[in-house]
Amino acid sequence: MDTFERQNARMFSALRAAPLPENLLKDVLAHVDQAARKQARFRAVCFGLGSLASSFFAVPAVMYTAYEMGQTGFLQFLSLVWSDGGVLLLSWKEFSLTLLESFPVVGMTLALLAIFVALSALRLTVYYARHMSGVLDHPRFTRFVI
Amino acid sequence: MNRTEQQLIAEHRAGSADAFPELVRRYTPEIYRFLFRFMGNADNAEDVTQETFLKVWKALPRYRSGEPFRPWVFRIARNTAIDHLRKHTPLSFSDMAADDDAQVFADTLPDPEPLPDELFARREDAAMLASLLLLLPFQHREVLLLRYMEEFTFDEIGKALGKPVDTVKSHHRRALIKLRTLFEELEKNPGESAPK
Repeated sequence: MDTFERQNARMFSALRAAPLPENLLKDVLAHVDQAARKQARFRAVCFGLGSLASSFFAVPAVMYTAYEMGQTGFLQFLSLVWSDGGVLLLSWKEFSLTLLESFPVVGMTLALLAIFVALSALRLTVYYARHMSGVLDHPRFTRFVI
Repeated sequence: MNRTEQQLIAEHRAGSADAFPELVRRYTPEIYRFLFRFMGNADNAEDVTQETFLKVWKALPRYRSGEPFRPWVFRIARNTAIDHLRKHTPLSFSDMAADDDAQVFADTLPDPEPLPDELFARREDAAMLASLLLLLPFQHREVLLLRYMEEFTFDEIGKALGKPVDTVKSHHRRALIKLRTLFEELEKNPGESAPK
């Protein structure tokens, strides 16, 4: 830093004495906290509605899976495991292929997907619902503002 | 334990409740001070400080680890202040326009010389300096404040303003020349509180 730079640094150092408003830190954190609560509330509502919609979708999906199982004879094939388990052991390859062929792929995929989405959305709803209280209520936060 | 900014950001991302308030506590004084001197109004500076940290909070998930944090925060503060000024005060075309076209002219100017002692002594009057700074275009004002009040390097100023270092140096040089001219005008007309 040359003389000129030092001179300027000294001159501008006088500007550092800007008095900080008394409640600025508290106000800044309260402003952020308010936005955080608003965001959490919005997300909780969105995920809650998503969870509800997925649950409604899961019902017909499960019913369709049950219908498909009846149509393809999947449950009848499966019941052979308990009734004729010994015989099935001898021809397990053929039995496995038949079981796979009769598996209600579409219905099961839709039902599992709907249940997965509903549970994930529910988990996020609970997470954001907890955060709706915001950081201001957190005990560690108070030491910054008091 | 004194945690670094990068550690605090990592903790904030991991869900720590006290990491962000700690970042706010560390940066509020200097951000407010910069905004106060940049905008020349305590109420506006207070509002923009709040808005700045709200934007920081929203932008933190997109913050790239390893990027210098201080210029990043000042960049948000500066952009927020300019948005605020655009909304609330009519900025002139010369304030808004990028004056890179005049860079060639600025580069041909000689380096500003140190001021005579008596003039330098007057320049240490914070109130006078603050009022003269407000007469400079904001591109010049921000460079001087970051360079001398916040002690940024030219590289950091470039990062904070999103401008190449050469442009920053050019603005810096022109700002000093303009500031010196204002001081000399004030010296010639001591009765005027705000020289034009």
